[in-house]
Amino acid sequence: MTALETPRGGIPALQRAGIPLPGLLRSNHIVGLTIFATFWFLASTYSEYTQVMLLSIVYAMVGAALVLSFGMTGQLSLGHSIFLGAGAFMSANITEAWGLGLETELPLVLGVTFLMGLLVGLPSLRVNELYLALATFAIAFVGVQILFDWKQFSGGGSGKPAGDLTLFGWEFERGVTLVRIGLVLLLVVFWVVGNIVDGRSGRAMNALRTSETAAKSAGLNVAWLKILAFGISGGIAGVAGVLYIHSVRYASPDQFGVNFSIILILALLIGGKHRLAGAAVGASFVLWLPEQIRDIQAWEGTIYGGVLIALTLYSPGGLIGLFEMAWSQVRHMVSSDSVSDDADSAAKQPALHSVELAPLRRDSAVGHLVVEDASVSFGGVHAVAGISFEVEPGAVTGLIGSNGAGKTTCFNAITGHIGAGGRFVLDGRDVSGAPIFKRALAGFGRTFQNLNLHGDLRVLDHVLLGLDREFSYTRVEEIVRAPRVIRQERDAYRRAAEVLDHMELLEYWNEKVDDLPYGLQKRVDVARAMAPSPKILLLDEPAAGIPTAEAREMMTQVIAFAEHTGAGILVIEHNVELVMGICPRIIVMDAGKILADGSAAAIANDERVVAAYLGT
Amino acid sequence: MTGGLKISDLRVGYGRNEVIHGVDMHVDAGERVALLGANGAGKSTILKTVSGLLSPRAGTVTYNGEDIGGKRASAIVDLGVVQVPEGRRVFPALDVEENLRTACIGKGANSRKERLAVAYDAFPDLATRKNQPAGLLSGGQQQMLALARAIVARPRFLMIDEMSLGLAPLLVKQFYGDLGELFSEDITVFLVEQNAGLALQYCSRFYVLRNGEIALSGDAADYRDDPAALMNAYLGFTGNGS
Repeated sequence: MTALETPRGGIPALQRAGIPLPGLLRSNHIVGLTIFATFWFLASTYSEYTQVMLLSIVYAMVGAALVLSFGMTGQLSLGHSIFLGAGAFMSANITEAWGLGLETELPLVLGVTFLMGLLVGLPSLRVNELYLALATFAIAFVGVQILFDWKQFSGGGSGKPAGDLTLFGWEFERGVTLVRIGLVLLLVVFWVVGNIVDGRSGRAMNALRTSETAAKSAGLNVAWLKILAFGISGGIAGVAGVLYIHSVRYASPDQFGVNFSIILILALLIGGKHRLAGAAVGASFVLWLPEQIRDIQAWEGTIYGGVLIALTLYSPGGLIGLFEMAWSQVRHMVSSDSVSDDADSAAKQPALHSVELAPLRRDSAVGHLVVEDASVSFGGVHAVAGISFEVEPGAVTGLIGSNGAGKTTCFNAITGHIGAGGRFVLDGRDVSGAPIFKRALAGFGRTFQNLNLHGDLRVLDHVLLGLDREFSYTRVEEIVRAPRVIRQERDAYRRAAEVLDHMELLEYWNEKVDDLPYGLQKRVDVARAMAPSPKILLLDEPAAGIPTAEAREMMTQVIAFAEHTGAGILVIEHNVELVMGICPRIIVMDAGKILADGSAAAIANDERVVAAYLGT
Repeated sequence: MTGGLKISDLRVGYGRNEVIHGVDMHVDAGERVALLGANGAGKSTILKTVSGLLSPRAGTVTYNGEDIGGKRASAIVDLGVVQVPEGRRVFPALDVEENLRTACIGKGANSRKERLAVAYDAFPDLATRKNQPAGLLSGGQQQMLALARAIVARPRFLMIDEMSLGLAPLLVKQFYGDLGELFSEDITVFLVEQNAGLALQYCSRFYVLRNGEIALSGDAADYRDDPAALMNAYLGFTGNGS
């Protein structure tokens, strides 16, 4: 403990691990800029391809929209064509009937289709991916029907021509100029989506795709994020619709059916649904291939289908995923000789004394939890049958009991993962009835028996997710990547690195959690929960599946962190040796009720506990 | 030496990483043997290779003299080699009884009833929840169900991965104490266990795996009184807590 008293003078964890800080330009932006610059110049040289270029831009824009709602948030939509349709016909009406130009078309379409997106996204709160696909399929179906019948808006079966292409009264030639206008729009879309992908929203969307439960426990408003992703996605698709009608100069309702949606999804799947570059590659694939090799046009469907099947089997990340795999293979071969062995360098200092973690110190104990008459029942079985207890601030309390006694259910009732009767008060704040994320924000941190990690995210991302509540930048600032965003992201990176260092996970920061052994995954789960310095940590079997010595070391680190921040700990554990060692007070549950509550020594000698749980 | 499991110079890996680097070990018929080691040492990988879920890169795995390395998992189960997988693998949508019945395919109706009775005797908690979907059981109860499935399967060679995971101490003691009655006396048991003290108590021999190699093997009796010594010396664990 004396080591903790000495002031810290070592090198920050972030630098020791070589974690690069986020900057203004990310790889997504560079993809956007490269496409922009290349085609800006190619547009005039190869003017015979203007039409294909325009359509590629439209597809890439919708692809970027789908990266948000589908690739990241995991919501498969077969109805995006309806946003394009709405955008296209609004454009036709604004230009024809009102005689206005892009300055009106773009913001109006963006606003209306954004709201449409929010509405269409609503079902995603209730149904899973497959049923959402069916629901959006139906929406596209009905949408086209409405367009057919609303003749005033869409011209019915005969459709409507595009109006003049103007901006603040200036009229433009279509051709090359339109390609350049499209490129500017595409660059803006890639900039916006890229910023979301690399900001807190993107991280949250990636997280909720792989485990909603864990995302909620990190304090994320999952419901709003899902709808918001749909809204932004719809808005971008609407803008793409404006470009679409100006490109083809004519739109009729039958163009915006489900088939179009499916081609758009197909393009993104072929390109790679998790990356903006995938949106660009996919668009090029479905539009340039038939253009280049005219003979294969008859075989288009067969080729797309075949490529899709092959990619699904061998590279779920699409063509971009294939490229990334090859690239990492090359890098691995090049760098396999370099051995990094700086984990235990002399510069290592206690992480709790770092500039990032030292201010988390609370001088008074927190985490005073009052549970009053909590009850949960599953179909007539009282899993938790009206129990009441208090947890003292800043204390480590054990919760033990036979299997099925209701320990985890009790946790779920406290954190809101399950509906429960009774009252739950944390440091004077009544959280009964509040949703999971609000309780998390009120100061609960928890881990899970079955971990609930986000398999394809890196270790560092998990801690950053835990820190989400520390960000104060708004989503608008995020979209433009304001200086505040970069500053706060950098602070979070530094703090996350120190938390990882404290939990001895620093050297694994860049690993996907799926690739880690079980014991380290357990640490990641704990690190994520404690990163935002909750008032009370609820640990569900932190030692299960790891040797006692290793578990004890991990718990020593967790307790040191909790002591530093004044937080309380409530821990469920079957490793009695460990529980007795770290918990001054132990609560024993049996059949949904509290069997005993007292000091470790008293519990160890309690006859009822020995008979029901410990054994002789 | 013909009976039981024999592993020689076994190498196994995932992707481009080799995790088992030439392991020799044997579990003779009727023996109780524990495989110990820290997290990530490769214990589960060895079990998975024996049960046919992974294929060896090199070396041989024989059971009763027959080469089973790289055979289909179902063919290995037919030989009577059964694994209780790590982490409560049960069928969540099936109820408890259905889960147990899937474990005794192809056995006569009478013997099936009798086997289920033995399993329910061992875990009375399951008997009261016969018709509950396994997905609604608590974590520990799912582990009970996974073990009960092994009892019903009546293997000749039983491999258990992390038996004590999430189980109340009382149950763990009972289960190990009753191994002889739950299965037949001559059953061979091969355990992977994090809890070295527990494993040493119920097994006659042990192997310690470290970084994919056997670091130590011997008689459990030698360390029964002081499992901590074994932990500190061989489990690759260097505690540097305060």
